[in-house]
Amino acid sequence: MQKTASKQGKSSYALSLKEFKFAFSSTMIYILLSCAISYVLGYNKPAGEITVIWGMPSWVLFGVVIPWVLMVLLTIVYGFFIMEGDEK
Amino acid sequence: MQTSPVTLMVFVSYFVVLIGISVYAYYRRKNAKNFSEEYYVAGRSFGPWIVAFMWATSWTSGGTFIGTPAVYYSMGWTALLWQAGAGVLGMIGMLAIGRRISRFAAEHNCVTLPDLFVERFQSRLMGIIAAISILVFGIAYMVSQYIAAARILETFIGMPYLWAIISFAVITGVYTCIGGIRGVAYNTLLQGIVMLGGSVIMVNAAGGLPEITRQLAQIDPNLVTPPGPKNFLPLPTAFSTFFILGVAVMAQPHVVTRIFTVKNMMSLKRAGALISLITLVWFMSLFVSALAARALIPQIDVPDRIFPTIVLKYSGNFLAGILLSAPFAAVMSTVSSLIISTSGAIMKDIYQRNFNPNASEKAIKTTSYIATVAISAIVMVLSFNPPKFLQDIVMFAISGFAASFTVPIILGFFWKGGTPMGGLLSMISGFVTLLVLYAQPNPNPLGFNPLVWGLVVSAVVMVVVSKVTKPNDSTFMAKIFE
Repeated sequence: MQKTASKQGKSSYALSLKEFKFAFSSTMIYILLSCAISYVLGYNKPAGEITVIWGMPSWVLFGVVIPWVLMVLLTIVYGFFIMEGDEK
Repeated sequence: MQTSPVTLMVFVSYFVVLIGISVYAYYRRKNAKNFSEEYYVAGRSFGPWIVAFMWATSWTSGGTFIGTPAVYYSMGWTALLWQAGAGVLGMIGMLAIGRRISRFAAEHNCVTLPDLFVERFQSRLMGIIAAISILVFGIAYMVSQYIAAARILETFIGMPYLWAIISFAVITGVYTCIGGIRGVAYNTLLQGIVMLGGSVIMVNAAGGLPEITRQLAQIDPNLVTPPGPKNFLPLPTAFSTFFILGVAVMAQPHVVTRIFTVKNMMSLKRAGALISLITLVWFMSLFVSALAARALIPQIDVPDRIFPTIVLKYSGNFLAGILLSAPFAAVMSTVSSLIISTSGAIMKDIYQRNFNPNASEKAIKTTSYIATVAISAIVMVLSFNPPKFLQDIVMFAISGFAASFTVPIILGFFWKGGTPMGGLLSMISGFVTLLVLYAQPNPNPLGFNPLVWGLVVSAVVMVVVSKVTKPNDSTFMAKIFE
């Protein structure tokens, strides 16, 4: 089995640590953002005052749907184009 | 409720196909050199699509089609925030730990989650405790799945509950025994496509979103505003749920072992991306279908029956047969993954490692089959008296796995400082914290779920204990962290 996994000659462990850090921090940012936006646009308001955009409450659109879709796009871009090393 | 013959025929032929696939997988396995490698991880030979679908259908469960739509239906738009943890599944469940775990597993011949801990921490005791935890929570999880399956059979075919449980147990047990992980995988690929197709069709049937939201607001303004009806999801609970229905995936024994079946890094990266996309489409389409159902049918006695009810009411006969199989697909793929994981826990992690390290291929084969059948039987008996809240058992089992294994996985494999005692105590303390909190009258101190507390306690214990106890041999550590 090859020791060097990336073009720069990083070890498999170093690469996996880098991936873990990226994935873990993006996950935490996603969770905090989603909760924060939902709080400001949704939790903070009385039931009658919710605005509706494209058929959904605005707090759902900005707090859940958009962050979720962005997270999926990030996962795809990271998985397909950014992660290095295709060793067995 | 009356189910048409066409619907039933489609439904039954689906099962015939499933069994056929298992038989095919059995013949593939017969010629394999190493039974365990083949039965549990399919010789580590799968590409991205099959891994992604297997992974996603192991994670989504009977709950996804029975308990989850009931939550969407009862709680309205806030339930989407409850579900949003799913956004991180591909990222945290596959890309974050995939390279490290798959490579470590391949280099150390790990086929089960406890194997990983035994090899990393060089602690057989840790393997036993992990196996016990897998048995306890795995059986609870499977009970919930059997009940979900029986509920579907009840609603669709009008089969009595007891018979529904027995027939489901027999079909799933046989098909897992015959097919092993390869059978599960082939079936899952088919089932995954069925689920995807089914959900997409439901969205079409659902009608326009603005109209649905307007109707919901009329039924109850809380259906469009957080925290939802009956104070469903206060913000700390929302935060906690991201962990249960998202981050926890990295510590589910039946999902993590999917990573072991990956052929190479290329497949792993693609699978991670595919998982996030597949689950987005599944959950969003199910969610919109359930919201539409609330607008169309404002009242239902048993919310757990909402998915079967809308399928029978709003789709044609042929389509209903296919859509009916979607929840079954989810249940069966989860149950068979869990059966493989729990029987692996008994067979490999307890019996072979501690009592009979030199067991012959034949003995391993026989005990694997016996363990598989025994577990199916135990779960079947436990399901005879269904508890009330299906989704609660699922969440409890998921949290149990996550509280025990998340920290040992993260800090064991990405931090050089973890010691065997640190790993062992962090696993036990996470598990115990969860059980103790669930036994309290108020299980959510400060509004945060027991899992969040379990993770905090487990992480603190790992770091503190590791600082003061004996590390693994330094040459060994240098080798696995090079």
